[in-house]
Amino acid sequence: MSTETATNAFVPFTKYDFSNFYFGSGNDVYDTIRSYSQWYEEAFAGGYHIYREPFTSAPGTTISIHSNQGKHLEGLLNFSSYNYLGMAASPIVKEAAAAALDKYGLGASGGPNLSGMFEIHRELEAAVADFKKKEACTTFNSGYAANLGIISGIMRSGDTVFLDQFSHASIIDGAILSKAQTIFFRHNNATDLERKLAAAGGRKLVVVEGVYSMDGDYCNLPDIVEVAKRHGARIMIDEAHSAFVCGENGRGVAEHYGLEDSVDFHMGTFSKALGGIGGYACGDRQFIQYLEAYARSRFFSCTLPPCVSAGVLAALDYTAANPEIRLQLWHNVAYLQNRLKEEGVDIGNSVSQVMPIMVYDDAKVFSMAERFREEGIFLQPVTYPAVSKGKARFRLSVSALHTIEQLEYAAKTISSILAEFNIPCKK
Amino acid sequence: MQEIVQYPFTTGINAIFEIPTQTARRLMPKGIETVESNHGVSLIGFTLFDFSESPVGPYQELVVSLYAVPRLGIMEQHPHAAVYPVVVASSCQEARDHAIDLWRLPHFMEDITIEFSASPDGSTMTGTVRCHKGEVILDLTLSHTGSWKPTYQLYQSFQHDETGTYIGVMDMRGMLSEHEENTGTLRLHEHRFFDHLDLSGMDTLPFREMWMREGVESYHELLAMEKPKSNLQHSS
Repeated sequence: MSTETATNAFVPFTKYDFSNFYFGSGNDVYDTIRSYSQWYEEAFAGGYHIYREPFTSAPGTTISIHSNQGKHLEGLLNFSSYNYLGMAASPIVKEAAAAALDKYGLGASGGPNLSGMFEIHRELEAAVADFKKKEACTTFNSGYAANLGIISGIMRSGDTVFLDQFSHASIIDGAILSKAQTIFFRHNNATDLERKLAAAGGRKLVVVEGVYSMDGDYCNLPDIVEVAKRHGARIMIDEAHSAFVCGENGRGVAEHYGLEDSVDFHMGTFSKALGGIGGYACGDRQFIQYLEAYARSRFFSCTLPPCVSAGVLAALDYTAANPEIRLQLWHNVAYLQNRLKEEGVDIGNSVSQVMPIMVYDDAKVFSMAERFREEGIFLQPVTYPAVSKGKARFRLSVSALHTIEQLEYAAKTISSILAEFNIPCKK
Repeated sequence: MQEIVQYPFTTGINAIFEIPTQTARRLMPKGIETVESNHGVSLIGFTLFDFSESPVGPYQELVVSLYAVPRLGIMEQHPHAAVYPVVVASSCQEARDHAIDLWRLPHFMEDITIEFSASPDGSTMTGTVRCHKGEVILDLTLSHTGSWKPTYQLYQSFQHDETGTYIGVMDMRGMLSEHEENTGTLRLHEHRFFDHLDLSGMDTLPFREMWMREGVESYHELLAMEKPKSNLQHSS
């Protein structure tokens, strides 16, 4: 196959997407790699260049980036970062991290069981357990590592893991790694879950997310807990996007529903509301002790950098002591959701700081993303296969730091650009 | 290379369903792997065609096919997808003989008829498949999104019979509407069509619905597939 022919075969790039290059058999592994590379060259030029662009500033409400097309863009209004409570670049957090960097150096230089456990790690674990009103907590290097370690740490071949069809990749990968049978139930559908639980025997684990990261909707926890309990299944909740944000005291969606004690295993991350990196598991002491022995993604990894742990701990202390930050976030969420709805913008079933701006057209989102940048807004598109076919969208994140003026500008600009591209509104 | 054979159709409806990979693997020969939409979840399609023209004249066809891992490095263009037709049913003997002789497609050896009926507002289409004695085999209903886009998709189709395993290269063109709204329905009736078709655990709510109008299915060629060099073992 000549390069020229192959390159032309992928014009226009929209004929293909990431799903077309995952599977491929043949005699050479490079058949898949080469095809992807040839397609990506076209896709990059056609629109995918807007991904993986480096920030040259902190992920605040306004950012600067070096575009992949060689432009330096300053002062873009940022609606794409997870910095929900504005902690990522908070002076208090930076100061704590800097002090820990000075005291401990850059890395932990060891895994948690041998030489990588520092007093700051223990302080962070105790603080998270205290905040979450649980007996114990253990930490991981990322949310991905936490889900991988928790699920594969407690489930085994012969067990069954029940996952919502919209589960994050880390949950699915944890189930795969556990070698348990994996059964998917329809999104938030307790009836479908019940049908599948009833057909399974043995040890069962149901895994849900507090807030689903592409839709911003809450888990239907009351019905799912009721069904799971009736069928003898344990329940795990991933509160990556909801811990420190949702619930009266910020303990997550389980708190929102008053079901914290009905959930067996709680997981969350430090990379969203707390603005750092890392993941945690919390629950009773036996669970955490078991994880510390059998969660391989934790056991066989270098521990979180002490300076990151110190920054995260400072963010947790600060947000716990200042609940008005969380209230400000919810004020902003309510303001923007109302304004977007007034403008007729379709935000799906979002009830949180994560809002899909539904476009439904994979071919238009890249040009729309460019227009958003021209209008000074950094908003990233999500297309198939990250979301269902025909459900392309922009994934918008609100921060407590956004001002009303910024939110108002975003609502008007989003509405105007949707109209420019003939995206139907709900008016 | 064989001459391209074209099969224009007025209506083609296809719904894709999730099926446990262990069930899917029992339906596939060694050397062909299923595509998984998620861990342990493979995909099976039910497609109904109303062909307006073909080398044997107009006919109707039901194709039940598993989605398979495409074989790369054998075609100039990258395939969009690959399928393994598990069973095909046609409305006449001529169509059956033609597809078996030319494309080695496995067939249910009785004639069928497909009644396509659109809802009054045209938003849904139901295909009711009956055998020649009038017994209903299945009903498939799906919908469109209102958005019809000109589409071209290149497929591989794995065929397997007593003479070997083959890769058919084919494409589909037409006006397509597709979605994943989980709104369609499939009813499988008690019928001998399913006697040798173990669909254990298959979901009957579609994962994806595809409706093509004024389309053309084109078969380019049938390539003999070399025996796999891998140690693929199916868990049947």
